[in-house]
Amino acid sequence: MAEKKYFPSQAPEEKIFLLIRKHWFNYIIFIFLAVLMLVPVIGITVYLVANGNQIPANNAVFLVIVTAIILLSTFAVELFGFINYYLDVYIVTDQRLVDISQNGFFNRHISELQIRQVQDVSAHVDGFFDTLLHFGDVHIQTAGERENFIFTSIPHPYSVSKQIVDLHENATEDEDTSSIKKYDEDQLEKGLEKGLEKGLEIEQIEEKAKELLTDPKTVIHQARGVYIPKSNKAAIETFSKEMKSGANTGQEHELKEGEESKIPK
Amino acid sequence: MNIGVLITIYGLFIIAFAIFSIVGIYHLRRFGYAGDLTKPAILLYSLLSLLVIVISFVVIFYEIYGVL
Repeated sequence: MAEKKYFPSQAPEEKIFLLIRKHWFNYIIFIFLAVLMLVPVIGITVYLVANGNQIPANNAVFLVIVTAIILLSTFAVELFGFINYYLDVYIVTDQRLVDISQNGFFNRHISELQIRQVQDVSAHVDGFFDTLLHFGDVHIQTAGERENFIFTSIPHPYSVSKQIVDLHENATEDEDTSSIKKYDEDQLEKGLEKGLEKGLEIEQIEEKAKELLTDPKTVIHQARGVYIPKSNKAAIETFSKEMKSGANTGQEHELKEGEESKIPK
Repeated sequence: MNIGVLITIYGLFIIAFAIFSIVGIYHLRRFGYAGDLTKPAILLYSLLSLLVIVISFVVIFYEIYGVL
């Protein structure tokens, strides 16, 4: 049997990291409502049990029907509240944030935000109960004119915001790495074509490609405008020296490990 | 009030309640996830509702005819 999707546009390889529901405190109004509705039921039941034989049949039937109607209405209200509360879900995957909002039976909204579009994440815990019970809002600021995402009244907002930031960093890192890979592949393809045009053997072209790829200077220049891998210390040092000596731009610039680089052509 | 009228009103209420419940349970089944609380909630709701309806009819029957 096919695995059920958590939201309609979920990709097959997409990993769900967080599935968050609102804090149970949001459901408490329905619990109070149930208690209030059960008070007359308890009263009528006690009265019926105590005076069962003395009450005329008509009145007894009336009281039983009223009690049953109140009880069934209580269940219906609880079902409605449970659907509103429990089907409101926030999902965080490795690719996007999803806000599924259920309002009543016939009003369901699903909005999504690509995790790469996240610009700023902040957690807010305001109020007595929020602080006491560890719940609050997470505000996710987006790039562009898109409406900001707000995860309201969720438990442990600080750890949720941290996880979103981590996933955003991972997602952007993956994107940068894949762009370097794509650039490398394109360059290798071009090199192969040129080498073949010059009449070189495949082995010779591969040897040359290996030399180019391991040369720190080449790696730096291939990574034009994108992320320089943190592990490539040699490349960073070479680049920093070049920048200091003004070989490329004449401007002084110390490139730190993991820093984004905009190397002019 | 006449017992017949009372029972008719109650019957109509139960029909409305059943429609409401079917819609609600449909939503829980449709949008719930595997392993969450939707299935236990459906079970509990159905059991309690059936229990109340059955007991109410038993008591009504007893009040009218005096026997079970």
